Amino acid sequence: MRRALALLAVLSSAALAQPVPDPVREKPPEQAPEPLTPPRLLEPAPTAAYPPGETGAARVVLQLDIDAQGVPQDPKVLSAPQPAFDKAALAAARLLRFEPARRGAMAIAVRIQYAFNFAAPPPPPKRAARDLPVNLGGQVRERGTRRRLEGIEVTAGDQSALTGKDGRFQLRGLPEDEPVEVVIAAPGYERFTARETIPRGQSLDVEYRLQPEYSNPYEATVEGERQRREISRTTLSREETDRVPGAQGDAVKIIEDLPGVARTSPIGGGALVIRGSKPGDSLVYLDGEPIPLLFHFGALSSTFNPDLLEAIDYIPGNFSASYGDLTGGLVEVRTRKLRDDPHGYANLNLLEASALVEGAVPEVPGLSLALAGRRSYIDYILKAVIPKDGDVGLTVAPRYYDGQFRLDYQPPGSAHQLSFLALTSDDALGLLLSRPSAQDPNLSGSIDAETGFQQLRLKHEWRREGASVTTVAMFEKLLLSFVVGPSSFSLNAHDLFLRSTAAWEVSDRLGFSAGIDVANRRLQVGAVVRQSFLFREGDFNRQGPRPDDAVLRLRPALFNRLSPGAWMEARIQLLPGLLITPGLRADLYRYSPRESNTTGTVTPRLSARWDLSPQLALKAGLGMYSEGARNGDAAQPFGNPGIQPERAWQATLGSEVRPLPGVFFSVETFYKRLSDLIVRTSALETVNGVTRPQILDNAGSGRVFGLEVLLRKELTERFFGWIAYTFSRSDRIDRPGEPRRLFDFDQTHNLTAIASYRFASHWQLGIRERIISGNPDTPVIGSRYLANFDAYLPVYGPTNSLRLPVFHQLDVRIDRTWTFDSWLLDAYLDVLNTYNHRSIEGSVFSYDFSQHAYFQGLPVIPTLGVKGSF
Amino acid sequence: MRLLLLALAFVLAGCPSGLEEQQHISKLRVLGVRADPPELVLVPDAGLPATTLTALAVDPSGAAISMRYALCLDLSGVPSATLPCPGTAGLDLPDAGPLAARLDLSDPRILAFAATADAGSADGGGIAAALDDGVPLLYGFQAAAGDARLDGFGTLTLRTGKRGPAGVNPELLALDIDGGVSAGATVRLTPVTAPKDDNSKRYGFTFFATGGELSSLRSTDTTATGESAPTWVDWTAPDAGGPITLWLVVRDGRGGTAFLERKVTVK
Repeated sequence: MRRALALLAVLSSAALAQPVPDPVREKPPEQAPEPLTPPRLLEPAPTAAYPPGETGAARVVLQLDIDAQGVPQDPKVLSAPQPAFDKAALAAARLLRFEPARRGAMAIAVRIQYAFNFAAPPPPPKRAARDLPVNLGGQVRERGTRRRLEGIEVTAGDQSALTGKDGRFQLRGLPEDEPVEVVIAAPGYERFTARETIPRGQSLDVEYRLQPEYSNPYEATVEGERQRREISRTTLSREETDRVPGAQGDAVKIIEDLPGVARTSPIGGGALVIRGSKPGDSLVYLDGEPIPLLFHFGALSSTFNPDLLEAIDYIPGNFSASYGDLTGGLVEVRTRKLRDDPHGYANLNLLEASALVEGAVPEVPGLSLALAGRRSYIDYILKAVIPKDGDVGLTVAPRYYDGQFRLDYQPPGSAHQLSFLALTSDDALGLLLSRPSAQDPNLSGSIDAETGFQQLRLKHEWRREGASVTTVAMFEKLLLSFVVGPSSFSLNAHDLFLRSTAAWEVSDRLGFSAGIDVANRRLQVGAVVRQSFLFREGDFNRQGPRPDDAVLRLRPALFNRLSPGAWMEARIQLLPGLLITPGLRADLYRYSPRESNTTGTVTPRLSARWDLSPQLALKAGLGMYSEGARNGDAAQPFGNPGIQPERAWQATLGSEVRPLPGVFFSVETFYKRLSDLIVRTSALETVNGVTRPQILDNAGSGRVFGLEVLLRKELTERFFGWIAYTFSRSDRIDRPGEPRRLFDFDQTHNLTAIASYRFASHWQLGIRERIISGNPDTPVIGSRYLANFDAYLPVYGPTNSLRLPVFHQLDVRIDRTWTFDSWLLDAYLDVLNTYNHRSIEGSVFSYDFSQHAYFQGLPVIPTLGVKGSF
Repeated sequence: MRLLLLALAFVLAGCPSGLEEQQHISKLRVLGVRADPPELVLVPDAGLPATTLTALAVDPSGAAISMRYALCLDLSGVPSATLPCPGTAGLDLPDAGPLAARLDLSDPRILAFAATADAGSADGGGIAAALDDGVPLLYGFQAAAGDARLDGFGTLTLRTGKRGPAGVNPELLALDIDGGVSAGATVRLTPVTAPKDDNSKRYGFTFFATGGELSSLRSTDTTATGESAPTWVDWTAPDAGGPITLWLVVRDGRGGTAFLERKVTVK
């Protein structure tokens, strides 16, 4: 300390070698002056004693008159009064000794200014913090969601600490028996203050809940970018999907708003049509295995609880070799890791109620479970409003339910992770038509439909640095059953699935993965249906089955479809930023036990991605894809046991640009060549001496090409949205020599814009606008009367040679969230078709097809709901 | 699920209005074709069977109606809507009175066609093998009234007597009206039939009117899934008085057909 002061004094005195300018200007000498030598300290300057009781720094400027002997006389303080420092400075000044100033050789008296600097003393040494006892500890959570906040700084007095992963903090050595102010200032949260008084000798345990600046009921998950095997992958987080207008909070319905996906239902959802491939050519996978029924009643709401979802990956084409038995695109729905702390919600809207609870199992480290369920109550509403003595009676009012049970187990520190998931879903509807339908005199009596599935999934994951093995085994029970008057169909399936994937990252520039993918579907099928009831692509825009069609009868019979596949893939970084992914997949399709048949395909795939910079990437892909016959196409009497798989060559070329953080722009062109398409034939075949209709063959072909543009603002704090535009053309040639016709859902232009903004006042507003080309339509150019049925048979013009008017619709969603200490309440209004534009969904005709009108879509439909979560 | 979805959308959105309803007769129509007998049953040593086809063809304009019938040269029983029959794909049938024709399998032209079809049959068993169960014979017809034309098809079953003798057509006794027919009033129309020759037959009724509103085109005594059902329908008379013609057609699902016409005056 003393040394420091002395140094300061020396520095100060050194500064005196160039005297501080006097505010009073000196008179100019009358004759040529002799050289002037300023006074110079003879010895180190004495130290001015730091005044006791003071804490801060100070500077005292003195006026010294140095006499001809070099002794300071009559020092005066020039700086502002600082009594203690002034006194110390004056005392030290009197001890200064100088070599006197000189003019020429003569010593003279001079007046100078001299400053003493006082540095603030360092704080008294403390005991090391770690030596002090913790006397304030606790946890920081978000208000409402109660989620634990990590990395938040908690300050109290002169102590501070960061919260850990579990949101906990510890502060040591805080003053006792007196109020201490605790302050938490975290970005995204309102400033939090509290005054705590810690009793002497005790420790205080507290929980602080921070008020978020805007409501966010979701668990924030930050993860590295998933390994990209596909060149066209769009990932939507649940935070984005949950509040998109028009989806009624159903994440899976959002898929229809992505580029390349056709609109197939007036209410969202519905059949999945990706890049001009027919429904069934594209699948939705849940954690690696398919979901057989994605929506209740075709499109109302998804069969899987969206609260358990992490994100949705949309891959419209040129997907990895790990996926097979499909020629369209795919959607991979990923479930989230279960939370350790208790969490749940209850949701009510006009159609259904749902709830979920989850949390860690006490005393079993690493074990968490979740239970969720949903049930509609449309049945109660319809029972109340439909008259009991009407021509249409409800025997089983439409209702649906689904349930999920999930169990995660990962022992602390283990490389193994186990997950068990049980799903159930069931839809049922029963009507009684007491009078035959005007359109179809065969149709009267019971209309019953029940669809449902149960799945048990067991997933094991092992990860070590650079290597992983993931295996999913699944048992599935599927029920599809309907009675529509004289027609009936029932399918009971017991299916087994196994998917195992091994991945090895050899280095940053080289990686391999390989796996197997096996599905065995064992189906019991019975049917009494008219052949034209089993509609195919190309029939969608026709006017339903014909009443005079031959009835196909099948006593319950067993069918088996085994489809094992094996694949391998490499990821090679050829140049910095240039990654190529060659892959190869082999699939077998075996149909048994009746008229067994085995076919197979080997499909090569190649994709490349070149990251030219963090902002710009080019991508390209080329691959072959195959899809075995489905839906009875390879089974007599519905189809042809000798049928071959359908095939598709897919090519994609595109680029991605990230001009700003969070902004993504992508342009892709694609081309698909479809071959061996399964189509109807009137040919006969002779099998074992019996001639019968061949029903189906592989004579169809087609092509799809187009351009997709996606401009997306990813969710940051308040805003997300995207604009997706697709130009495409998809057409088919049903048989060689026949003219090319449009695909059922060919939509030349498809523009979707979505924007959602969170206001600080806990309101959120979202809008969705869609403008989409109308679907193709098949004209009716005449009719014939069927005397046995008193019905008319349409005479069709060229298939899909007309087009319905453009569809456009604006949907709006408003959310208001109330945040309570331990839970959140979200009320929402989701308005479909806000400006009530009655879009055209299809053609309808008078009884003899002589008059035509359009079938209009839905009017404005508001949906109200409330959701409470903790 | 597509059907359910469409049905739901239909219920929610409603049908477009303004399209002509089938039960309303405003132009040339064929409401049914009766074959007497309704089936062609091959009886040993009794010669080839024949039947008479008679159409219930109506035209509220009062124009004269003519009918042309033909046996179609198609063995599928499920015709293409564009099959030219009557025409190049049919054998014209001789008249048998107003709006009627005679189908006689002993017609040499028909015999020649049958011989060709049997020889060309691919499964080797020929038509004969299927006759016990019955094979459909397709006929086509064309109604004409002035410039108006209406084309249609019907089927007859040709079979052996293994399943029993030929069925008989249903018999309509009356179309009951449960009250006075005054302008704008709603009355109940109830078909009255003679007892069935076979109680397993399911009767389907179709109602037509030149004016007013029928609550339903069709009714049945038994639904397709076996439930009993009301056969009546309601008819609301037009607001203006005048003569109205009502027609009732019954079909037994096995080729049997009967029809009845009733004229009423709305006061």
